[in-house]
Parts: sequence; structure tokens; C-alpha cells
Amino acid sequence: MGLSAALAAAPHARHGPGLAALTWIAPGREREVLLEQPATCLNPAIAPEQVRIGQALFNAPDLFGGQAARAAISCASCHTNGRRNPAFFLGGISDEPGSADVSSSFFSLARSDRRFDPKPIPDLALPGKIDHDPATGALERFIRELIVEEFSGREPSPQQLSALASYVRAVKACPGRTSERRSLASDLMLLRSSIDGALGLLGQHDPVGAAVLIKAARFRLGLIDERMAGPKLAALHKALLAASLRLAQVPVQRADLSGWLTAFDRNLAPQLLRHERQSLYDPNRLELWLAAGRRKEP
Amino acid sequence: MTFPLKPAIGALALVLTLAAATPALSNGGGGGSGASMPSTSAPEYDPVVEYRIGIEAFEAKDYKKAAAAFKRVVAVAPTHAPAQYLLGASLLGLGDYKRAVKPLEAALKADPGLIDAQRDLAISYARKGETAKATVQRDAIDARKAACAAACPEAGQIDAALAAVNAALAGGAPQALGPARPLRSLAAIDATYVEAVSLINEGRYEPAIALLEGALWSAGPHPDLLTYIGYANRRLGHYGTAAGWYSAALAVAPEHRGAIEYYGELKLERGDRRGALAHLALLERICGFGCVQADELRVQIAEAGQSAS
Repeated sequence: MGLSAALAAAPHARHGPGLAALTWIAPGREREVLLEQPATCLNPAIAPEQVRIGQALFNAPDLFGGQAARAAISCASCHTNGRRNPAFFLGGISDEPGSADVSSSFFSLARSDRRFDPKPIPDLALPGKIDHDPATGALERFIRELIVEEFSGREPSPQQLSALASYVRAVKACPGRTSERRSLASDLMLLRSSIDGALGLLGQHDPVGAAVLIKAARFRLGLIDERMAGPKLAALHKALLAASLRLAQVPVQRADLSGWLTAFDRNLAPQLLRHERQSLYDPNRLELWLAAGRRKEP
Repeated sequence: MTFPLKPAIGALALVLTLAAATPALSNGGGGGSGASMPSTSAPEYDPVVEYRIGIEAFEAKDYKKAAAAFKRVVAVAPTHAPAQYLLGASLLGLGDYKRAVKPLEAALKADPGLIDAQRDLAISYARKGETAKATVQRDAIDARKAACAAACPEAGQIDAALAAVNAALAGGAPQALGPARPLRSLAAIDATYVEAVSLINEGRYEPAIALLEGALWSAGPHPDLLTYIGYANRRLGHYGTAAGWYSAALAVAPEHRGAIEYYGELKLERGDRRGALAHLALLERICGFGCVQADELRVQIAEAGQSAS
């Protein structure tokens, strides 16, 4: 991607919808990334509430800073569903799909080596070089360095690191299946994880972490909105925007956040689900849109 | 995002001319009243896409199609020297010497170092029978040759330009010569963009500007490139120039979040808090689902308020 994807997707143009994820998807690989994702099974033996908070943080662009934050990149951009994004491609950062040079000054000076040396993105469900044993704290230290040194993020709280490490430890391959559908339900699940995660971090006295997840929830609403494109779904666009703005104004308190989520699940979520087949979540509509050069209204 | 290229001749001159030509500069280099907020109505055509269409048509020698596309680009980005030059070169390719003059003059005004534009302008005058004007341009190229003394990187280009102009003055019918520099692939632009932004992150603003300005030839007036040229200039303290580039980015993409944010920061640095707040308000309107650009500008405005109190 990069500028060339921007040229293709022309996010600044007024020709129709754009999808943020296209920024880092290799040309020709859009369909597989937008409609499918690697199947992930979470280890139920690891504290589920912590795993859920970690999953939400894993998908939160606000965890990072610098260019990553500006491109709305989160951990999940490279590690889709906690695994590996084989189609990740950022021009000047990747040499082939599924690779990234994370020691580029583009993202951060702390790890810069002034060399173009992309590496394959690892699958987090497979054993890696970092010790996952909670007793050593090695995984927490590694994640902290990734956030702060590689991607210019703010210093994460111990609560955030603990949750992220719990999620990474819980990610497992699923027996018998390699991929699963990426649908509106997937995004709604991550939206709820963000709000539940914010509630969880509030319970752990981490309001800053909760604020990161509230932003992640608004970001997720935006991703849903991108897919609900076209004049026929204009009312849903308005409703999603209103929900986002309400969320921005909600005091970071447990009761208010719970109230927002209850209202969303009661009012807007069912409407969204009813219109999924008219949106770019629908494989046929997405195919047509991609074939039309990503410009035509669905 | 969005982020790529090779140094342009006379790049600084392009910047200065663009700055002078941009309305925002007339009120104090972006440090004025905040009344210089750009319009948020998008251009009818996407000039970046049109530029690419123009490049492909030019390379295929379809000068009619190229001229039509470049015309749409310069309608939005009149100070973009590459587009003005390529419009002129396309018209030259069509044998329309009369209409080629204006865009070639505009290209040269935007980038006085552009030898290709000076060459083609001289050829156009010569073909129109305006020998005196053609000779002025040829003499200017001669002056470059003298200054270069066969030692500068453009020495070969200057000699070739002089030969082409002299041939036209002698009555020869020239073809569309086109830019001396190669027009790069989009993939190459990406890599250069990343390199330039990396240089900016390292505080190496001048080489970053050279890379980004070179990229304008291949990518056209891409708002990401224009914004980062503005940003690098701002970091060098060239506020007026920076404001010109930000304005150029916003003319192409009125809702470009990065340009709105950085232009707002520039206004804040120049003491124009009201102007910065107007930029923040615009970002908040655009970013209904939140965006880092609004968050960053909001923090900077708050910090500036604290340090002032």
C-alpha cells in the first residue's frame, strides 16, 4: 500500500466509500482479508475477562503513536484475529505480502536501524522466541517494548500489559479449520469487547486504558460505517455517527458505558444486522465494489 | 496515509512560488486571523487520479487525452509545476504551440529551475514565429550552461535543451520531448514516501523535502506529499512556505486530516489560537468516529493554553 493504495482507494476523493483496511492490504488480496480471517480458538483456561480486555486492546489503534496511529494500525493489522495477516503490505515497509520492517524510522526512532530489512510477520498461535510463562514476565516486557519503542505508543499501564499478554497467551489455532468468516458479527463482537474491556479496566482503576478502548469502540463503529455504504443505508450511517458522538460524550464511568452498550444492542445492532446483506459485508456486493475499482456505491 | 522519491531541480524555487501564489500566505504565513480556513467543498475531479491518467496517456503519446487530464489537475493545483509542464508538453505534442505557452510559463514560474519547461517554452515561441522571445529563453539556458560550467549534474540536460531550441529556431519541427526525469512507478513512490517520512522523523528535513518534491513528478499533487512538504518546512521555521503547501494540500483534498491538523499546529505556533481552534472544530466535524489528528491538535492547543497562563 501506502500512496499507491491511496491512489487506488483515493480516500480523499468523493467517488464512494473507502475501507481503511485497504491501506495495508496487498493489491489483489483484498477479498480474502475483508471477508475472511484466520480461525482463532482462545484457551479457556486463561482468565476470560482478561483475555477479552486484551483482545480489545489488541484491536485498538490508539495503543500506538506516530505513523502507526495515523494509519489506524493496531496489533491486529499485522496479526489478524491474533494470528498472522498474510496479505499485510505497506509499500516501503514490506517487501512481500505478510512482511514488515518494524525497525524503520517511519514508525519509531528507538528501534531504527536505517536498513530496509522486512521480516515475515509471525503467527502468534505458534511457538515463538518469547517465553510465554507468566512467571517470567518476558511476554509483558516484550509487548511493552513493541508498543513504546517500535510503534511510538504511550507507556501502557501494568493492567493493559497484563491483559494483552493474557490474550496473546490464549491465542490458539483451531483444530480442523484454518479460517473463519469476517462479518458484521465479527465487528460487533469487537465493539462489545471494547466497551466491556473499558468497563473491566475501570474496575481495575485504569481510566486511561478505558479511554483507549472507548476510542477503539468509536473506531470500530467507523469500520462498520464504512461497510454500510451507499445512499440506501444513509439512515444507518446517521445512526452510527450519532452513536459514536454519544459515546464520545459519555462520562468514563461504568453505569454510563453500560447504558450506552445496552441502548446500542437494543436499538442499532438489530438494524445493522437486518441490513448486512445490503452492505459491503456481503461477499457479492464487496466483489462488485472491488471490481468497480472501489469507487462505485454498492 | 497514509507516505515516497528523487530531488527536483529548483525545488526550493517551487516552494517559494507556491507559497507566494497561495492565498493563505497573504495573511501572515498562516499566523493570521484564522479566516484562511479552506473551503471544504471537494474538487469535481480527483487531481491525483487525473494526473495518473495524464501520465499514462502522455507515455502512450495520446497527447489529447493527456492534455485533457492535466488541464483538470491544474484547475485544482495551479502551482503544481509538473502538471503545468506536462500540460504544456502535451499541447506541444499536439502541435498546438500557441496554447502550450501559458502552462509552460506557469511551470517555469512555479519552478524556475525547470530546464525542460524553459526548453519547451523556447521551442513553442520559435514555432509561433516569436523569435525574440525564443531567444530570451535560449539565452537563459545559455546562462545556466555558463553557471554550470559543464560540472553540474544537469550539464547533459542543458546541452540537449540548447540543441533542441537551436534546431527549432532554425526551423526544425520538434516532437514532444517530455520531462528529462523518469516517471516512477507507484510502488517506487511508496518506498520514497516512507523514506522521506523516516527522514522527517529523524529531523533531517531538507533531504526529506527534496525526496517529497521529486515524488510530485510521479504522484502528482498528492495531498500526503504536499502535507509533509509543508510539515518539513514548518519544522525548519519556514512558516509562510509551509502554509502554502498545506493550502495546496487542502485545495486538492479539503478534508485531509493531516493537513488540517498540521496547519492548525502552525497557526498555534504563530500565536493564532483562534485559527487553531477553527481547525480543531473542522477536524471534529470530519472525524465523527474519532481520529488521532483531532486528538493531537486538541492536546497541543491545551498545552499551549497552559504554558500561556
